[in-house]
Amino acid sequence: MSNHLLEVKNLRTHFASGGGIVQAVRGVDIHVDAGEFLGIVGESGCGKSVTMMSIMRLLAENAAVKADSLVFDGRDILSQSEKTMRSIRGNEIGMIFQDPMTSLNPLFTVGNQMMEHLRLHKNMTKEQAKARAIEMLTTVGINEPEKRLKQYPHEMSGGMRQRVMIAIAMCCNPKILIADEPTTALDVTIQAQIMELMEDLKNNFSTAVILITHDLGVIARSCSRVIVMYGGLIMEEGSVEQIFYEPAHPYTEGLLRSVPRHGIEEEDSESQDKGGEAQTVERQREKLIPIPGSPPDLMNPPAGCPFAARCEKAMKICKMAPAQLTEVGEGHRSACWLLHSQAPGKDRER
Amino acid sequence: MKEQKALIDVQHLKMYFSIAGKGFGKKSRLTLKAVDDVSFSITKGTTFGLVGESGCGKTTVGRTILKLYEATDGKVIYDGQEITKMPEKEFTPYRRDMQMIFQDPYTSLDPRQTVNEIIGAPLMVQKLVSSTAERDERVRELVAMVGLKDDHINRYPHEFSGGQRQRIGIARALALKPRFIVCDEPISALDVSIQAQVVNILEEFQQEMGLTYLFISHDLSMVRHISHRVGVMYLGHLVEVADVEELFRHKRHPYTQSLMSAAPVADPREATSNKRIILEGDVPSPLNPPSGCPFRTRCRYAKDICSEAMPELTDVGSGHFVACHNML
Amino acid sequence: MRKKINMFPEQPQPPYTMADKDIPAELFELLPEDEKKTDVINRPSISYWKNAWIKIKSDKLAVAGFIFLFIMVLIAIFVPIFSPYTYDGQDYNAIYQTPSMEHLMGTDMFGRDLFVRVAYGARISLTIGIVTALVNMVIGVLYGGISGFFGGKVDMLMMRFVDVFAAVPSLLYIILLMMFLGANLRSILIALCLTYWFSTARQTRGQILSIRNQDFAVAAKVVGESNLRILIRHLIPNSFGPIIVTVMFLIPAAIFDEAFLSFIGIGISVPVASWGTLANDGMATMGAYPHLMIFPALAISLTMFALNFIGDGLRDALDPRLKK
Repeated sequence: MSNHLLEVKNLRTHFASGGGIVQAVRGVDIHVDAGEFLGIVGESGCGKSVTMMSIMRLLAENAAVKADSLVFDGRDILSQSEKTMRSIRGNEIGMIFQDPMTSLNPLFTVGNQMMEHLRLHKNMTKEQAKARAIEMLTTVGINEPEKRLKQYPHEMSGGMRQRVMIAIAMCCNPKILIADEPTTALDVTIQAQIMELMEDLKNNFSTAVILITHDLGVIARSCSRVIVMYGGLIMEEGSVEQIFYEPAHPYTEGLLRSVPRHGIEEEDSESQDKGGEAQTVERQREKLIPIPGSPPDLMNPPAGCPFAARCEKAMKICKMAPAQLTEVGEGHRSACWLLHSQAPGKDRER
Repeated sequence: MKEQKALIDVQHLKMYFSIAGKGFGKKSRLTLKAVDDVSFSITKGTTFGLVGESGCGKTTVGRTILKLYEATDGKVIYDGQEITKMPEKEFTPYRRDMQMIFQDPYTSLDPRQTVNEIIGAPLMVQKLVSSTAERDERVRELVAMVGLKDDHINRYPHEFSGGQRQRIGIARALALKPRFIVCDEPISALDVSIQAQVVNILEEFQQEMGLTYLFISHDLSMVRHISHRVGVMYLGHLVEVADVEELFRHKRHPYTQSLMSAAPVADPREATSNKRIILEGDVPSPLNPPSGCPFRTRCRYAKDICSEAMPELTDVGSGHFVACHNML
Repeated sequence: MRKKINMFPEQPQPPYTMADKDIPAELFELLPEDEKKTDVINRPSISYWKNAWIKIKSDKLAVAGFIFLFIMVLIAIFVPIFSPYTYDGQDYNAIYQTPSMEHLMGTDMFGRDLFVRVAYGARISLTIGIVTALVNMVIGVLYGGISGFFGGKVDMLMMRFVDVFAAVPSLLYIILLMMFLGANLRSILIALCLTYWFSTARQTRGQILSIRNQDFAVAAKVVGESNLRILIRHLIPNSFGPIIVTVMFLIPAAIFDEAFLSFIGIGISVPVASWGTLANDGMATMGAYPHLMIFPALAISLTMFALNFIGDGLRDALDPRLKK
């Protein structure tokens, strides 16, 4: 029925913790198509990473995952054996994480780890694996790959290690590459290198990329479709243009208003028009509008919309029941009570 | 703009660390030039943004100004007074004027103390209050200033979210009614929706109390938003300084240019219309910096001269200084 | 060990969904500002020590250890007072008796009541354990704290001093000291106190070093707190958890060392009973009268178990790394 590469319906992930049950993901539908660059954006604790870890069945023992369906490439993930899952992970779905140092084994050389991976998943001989490893390192832009193969992770810089991680994740030609905050630990110039590399890989290998990040800037540049998560739920999803220019959910709007939007690079013509005047007067600052308060405690998640407590447009119903995702445009859905037919206009003044 | 008085004047500041290398003995020790000949000044009531990548020495600059490290060479002049050589005892009253906000709100608050004790400690130590009752009163005022509630003061830091903790850190810094605050990456550990809360609080207090900030960050769009003047650091050197709009419009140093082109912008149309200037390779090790210009190993315009001499920070007009042999 | 809990408790059905068409109009009124409750913390305020207490209460083995130890303390205090027998009262009409209602643990070769002697031994063992732990904690924390805080040359000298002394097995010192000071409770205490603080000092120093450069210590310096105040108010309280765990494990080690010394005959001397001397005496007649060996040995090993369980419990409760 579905021809999505990956499709999850009503995913719920709960954690047992000392004080009770943390409802980290509370009913999330996600689908990914082949060759697509999907961004999942949200603040820490919104459930974006847990969602992906649940799909990969990589969570610790204190987690419980439920879903109405979880289908990857026509197979039901939840019913697969651990052995099959191991072959899916790495072989068909590659993953890279925020801190490459913790995902590489410090006791083995980079070459050792890459070749091990290839021999395990692709049954290659040692020579084949080595050739493939060198080829992949070259693809991710590492100079002198033969020399690098003999190095240990600690001998490399952060950017280099992240390249190696990408090379490992990509060396089996996965159908999906999941990147969890891949550039957060890196410097801006290195971040640009890595993002450029991921965009190239997506274009050249038609791998679907799921990028999990808190950085709207990273999303804006690379992704074609965006999912905004908050409090364990999807608040809004749509194309990158829809999310950034026609946000339908107050949370998305709030996020966009709380970061400086005017770019680093400005067209000189525009700035020069006003420039001379503005500089003599006190510099006009664009005022940032923060979202008040803090994210909800998912040990006792609110009964209604998780954002209601911080939302300037919150209505009484928002505290009583969560809103379901509602179509607002082509492929653009938002979970907000303001979209209900009985709701007043969106521009009501407070 | 009129020439205004500088509150902080940093002159040829150098901060070298001696660290253990391989082997034993004095000879094996290596010198890490974390800050190498950095000069800038901060006008009263303004914000000076210091940007650069990790390891470029920007944090060390902030901490050396506050005398958390003893400067190897150079001067820091605070309100007309040279402070780098001042003994700690004499400097203690200056601590009241010069405060700091830390990057990580999870490590900068003592986990065993209540908010009351954390914010009250500066008041007690500097003897600004005479009784615990008076302290409690002041702490309540401070907590209210940063938007927290009365009943929060007897709680422990781990009970707060990151943004709330950072506001507690700000309240602690404000307790002594300082004139100058080093903000060391105060927002980079916070969630996007919370960053603006903290930045707005900082801006409000600047307007109300005429505070002067050194705002250290790698987030260029925030630096552009909050700063009046910006310095760009690379490998311990200040490579470009200018007023904020001037710097962002007329980037003269190749490093500044690529740094800005690489910064993510939360606007898809603008982001895709810009061509990123991708720098090759990594930042060289500060233990073994390249000869001449520190940036030459990654610079597209590098010439022979760049490996021979360190370019001087030169005035190119309207308060814009650049250290480059082939300015753009 | 993990309790079976329902990970997906029944959620209350929301009263309305987006599909409903007849929601009361008043529900679309704006939510009053005071009902939004931003920045409200729902969870009760829990300090570090309170949190540790909650955790240790839920650790069954540690609780069992505490209960056992409490009973042992009661026995040590009250049995010698209220028992009709004394630890050195001999009764040649009742030698080598097996346990009975009259003599709960039987009697030894001089007809002395073993139960009273074991209880008396508990006094000695527990005194040694507690005094050694407390003294070592004070010396070790001060020494390690000063060493770690000042660092540099001071640290170098102080730690090399510790290294030199710690390099020689502590039993060797203790035996030498005992020969010098004579075999009694006081000299055992002195001997143990002089040798055990090395580990506490090292541990404290390590802790202090690791937190000395953390931001909150730097922050204290920025607001003008003095070095001494930083050490006492920030560094020591923050390193106390792991230190308490180390000290906790010192108690059984000290008790065991005393028992060992007495067992090999250079500890507490007759007729005073300690668990070690009792076990030693019992060993001589182990074949014929095993109870003389079994009861003191049980007292030693059960106390060791209890103390180790408590130590493990404390470590789990106080170790920040295991904290969720």
